[in-house]
Amino acid sequence: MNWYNLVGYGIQLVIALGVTLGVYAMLRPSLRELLAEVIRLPAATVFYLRSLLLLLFLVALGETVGDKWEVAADAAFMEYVWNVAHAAGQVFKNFLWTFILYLVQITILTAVLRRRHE
Amino acid sequence: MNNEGFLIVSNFAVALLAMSFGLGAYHWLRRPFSGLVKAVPAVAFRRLLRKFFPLGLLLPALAGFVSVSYRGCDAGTYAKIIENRAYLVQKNQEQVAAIADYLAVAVLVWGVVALLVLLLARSRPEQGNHVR
Repeated sequence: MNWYNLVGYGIQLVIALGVTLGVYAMLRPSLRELLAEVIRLPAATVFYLRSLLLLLFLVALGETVGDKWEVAADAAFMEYVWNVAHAAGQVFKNFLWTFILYLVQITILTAVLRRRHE
Repeated sequence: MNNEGFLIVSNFAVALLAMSFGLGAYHWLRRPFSGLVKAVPAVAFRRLLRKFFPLGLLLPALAGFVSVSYRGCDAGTYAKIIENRAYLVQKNQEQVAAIADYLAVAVLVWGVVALLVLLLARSRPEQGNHVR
């Protein structure tokens, strides 16, 4: 791997981890509020919040590290951009699946526990 | 360093990385999980869950690491495997990606276990486990 590819790889990793933190920061306050209200057990709220951050981090890391960088050293600038965009697209796609699976859990939890509280 | 040396060093380094990922995830979730498990009325079941929790994160990380085979379609023999440094680096990347994927699945499964624990315990708010 030449240094062009290493730089591109690093940029891709930074973008993926930045998006992870951004998404988590955006969701955290409302998710925390919902979990605190529904579960009424602080340890469980912290567990679900931490597991979401861990999930997003692992998904982003898995996609970006596993991505093959096969851009030639003399390739045009836009070829690097396309490569980063492709990896970012894969990260977003897997975020979507993670959200679906995570939200199914939270929905079941909310539906069942709210009914019990009432 | 020749390619064979690189293979040995990188393979053990990624194995250590897998262990540290598994243990890191356990350390990150240990306290809230322990607090959550306190809601389980049966003491023996609570103890069992606490014992399984580290294993349930460490083993998937290691399973992800060993799930990647060096013997692909192009490189069937050991000599062919160590011929190309780029191939070895690519396999290391695949190993790290597999570790992350397996661990993510494990975290999701533990989320389901936590969900079942909460439903089983009927979420008793009076226990008030404060974990920050």
